[in-house]
Amino acid sequence: MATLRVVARSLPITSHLGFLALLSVLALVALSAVGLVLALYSFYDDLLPVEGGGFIVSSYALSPLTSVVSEKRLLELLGNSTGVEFIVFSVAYVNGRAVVVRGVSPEYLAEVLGVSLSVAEHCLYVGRGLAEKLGVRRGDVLVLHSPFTGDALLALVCGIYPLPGVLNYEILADFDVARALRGVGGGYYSVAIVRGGVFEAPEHVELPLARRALLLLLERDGSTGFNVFAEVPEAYIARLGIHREAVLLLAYSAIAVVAISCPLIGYSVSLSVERCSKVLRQLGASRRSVVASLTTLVGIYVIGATALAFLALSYLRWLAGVEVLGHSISPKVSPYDATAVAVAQLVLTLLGVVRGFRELE
Amino acid sequence: MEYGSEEQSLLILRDARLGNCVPLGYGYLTLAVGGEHLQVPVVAVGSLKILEEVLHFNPVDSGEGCVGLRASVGSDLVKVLVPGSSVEVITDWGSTRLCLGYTHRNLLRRAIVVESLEEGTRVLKGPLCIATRRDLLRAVLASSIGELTSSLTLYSLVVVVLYLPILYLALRRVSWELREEFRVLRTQGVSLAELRLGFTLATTLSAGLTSIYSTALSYLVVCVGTSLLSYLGGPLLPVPQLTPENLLPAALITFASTPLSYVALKLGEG
Repeated sequence: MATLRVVARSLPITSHLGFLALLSVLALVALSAVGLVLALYSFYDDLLPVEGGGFIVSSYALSPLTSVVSEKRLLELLGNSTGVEFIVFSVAYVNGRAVVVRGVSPEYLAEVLGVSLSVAEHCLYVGRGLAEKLGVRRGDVLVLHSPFTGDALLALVCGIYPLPGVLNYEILADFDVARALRGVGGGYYSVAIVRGGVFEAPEHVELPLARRALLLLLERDGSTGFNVFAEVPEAYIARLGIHREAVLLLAYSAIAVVAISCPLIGYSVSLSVERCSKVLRQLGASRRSVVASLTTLVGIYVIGATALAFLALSYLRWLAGVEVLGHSISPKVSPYDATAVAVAQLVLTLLGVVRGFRELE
Repeated sequence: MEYGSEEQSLLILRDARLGNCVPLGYGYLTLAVGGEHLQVPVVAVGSLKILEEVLHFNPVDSGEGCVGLRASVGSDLVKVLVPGSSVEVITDWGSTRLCLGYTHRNLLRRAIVVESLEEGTRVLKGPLCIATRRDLLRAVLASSIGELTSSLTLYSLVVVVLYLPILYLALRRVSWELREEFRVLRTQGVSLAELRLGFTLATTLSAGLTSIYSTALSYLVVCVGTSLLSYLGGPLLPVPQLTPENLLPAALITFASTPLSYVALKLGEG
């Protein structure tokens, strides 16, 4: 303890703050990369919030954006329709941006937006966050281009609302508009949310839903047909391919930066206490006690740095946010991730400390 | 299997960028149908012939009673608008009539296509581009990439700026490693100013070369990846252009390394 006090006091306060700042930057880079990867992988969970229990039925698809479920088959399976809520998702190209269009029931629109049921149909309701990005106002005519059908659809913006969560970055529409964009027929939806209750699936039930993401079931003129889409970009966008790869690259570069920098910082800590450690050794302090005091010092730096980075990311969410289909995604960091990053940083920094100390000896 | 089809697609854009474009008007028309006013999406083009190849208009027997501008009804609107009849359009100046002499079903299924539109109807002007579906998909992908680059460019610049203290530490380490060589050079009569200049120039050059090399390598990897994707799945993404914005972090590191290496050596001398 006495050795630690001497070592700590041998450094000016600016050096302490300097090392703390350097490690904080690295912790921030590492935590934001980890948080972004987690946020991106839970993007679909955020699209489908199930509050108060329940489950989501989707087809065997890459994402809710490509899933197709049949209302008839699902209700046959469930036995009743109480507490079942359907959503049709689509991606549309609007004003030079790819955005998510969420098709919901007129009842849902009336409840969430407080509009009358008759108005809720054939209209677009844009979340304020997205409206600002698109530069649209109430009464504008929007042209929605569907990457699934190649068609252009004209629709009127009937309102712009500050909506909670992800809805603020989406376009809300009725089922017809969303289905026209998604290219599915009546009676088909992207997902169904079954609220409450316990679902007992009968044994050996095979839902005859779309087996592949790019296989669409279409009902036209009373007969059900299918359409195989061989469009890789559709799937690529639907499963956030480009976004995931970019964020993974960011994570890899963050790992590389931390792996190179932490030993360098540890090495510098050893160099900066060179004179003090030599004096301590001459005064009879053991090698182990000097290394232990350096380890403790570095441990305090790392804990402080990680706490600062964690607080910065928790309160300044814009600091490392990315946009995904119009949604603003902020890093999701948990205390568990912060601990893991701190341990990795501590080990790497200590490698540098030991190396520096050995060279001095 | 071929990815990215040549199937035709219609894009109504604010500015003409893709495919073959013609001027058009688009918006909503108020029609008087069965005593009620109905708002219907409309696309107005100079001549229906322009879209004949894409929409494949089917003529409907409209009889002699069908008067007014020629229009085609999208297949999704057939339930409410009877093809072959004429409907009244309410305009700011009164009313006019449309003859629904055609139907179309492939694209613009939820709109009516009108051959020119008289004054008094509120429509927006813009180009209508006949492009392939691949062009549309490419535009959607480009939008996703744009979203990412706009957020990550700022992030990378912040990281580069925050990383400069680490560069300083690395330069301190280099100067410390070279302390013996400096001492030998000093004993042989090399002035301190010359040593500082040599060290600063050498480290700046080294930082510059490393930055240029890593930027070039990253660009090469992206180009190879894009070309490979184009080879395997059709020309979906254009080869990205190297813009000054991409070179900014490399330039920042190079220019910042000059004062940093000077300061690192000067402080290291103590």
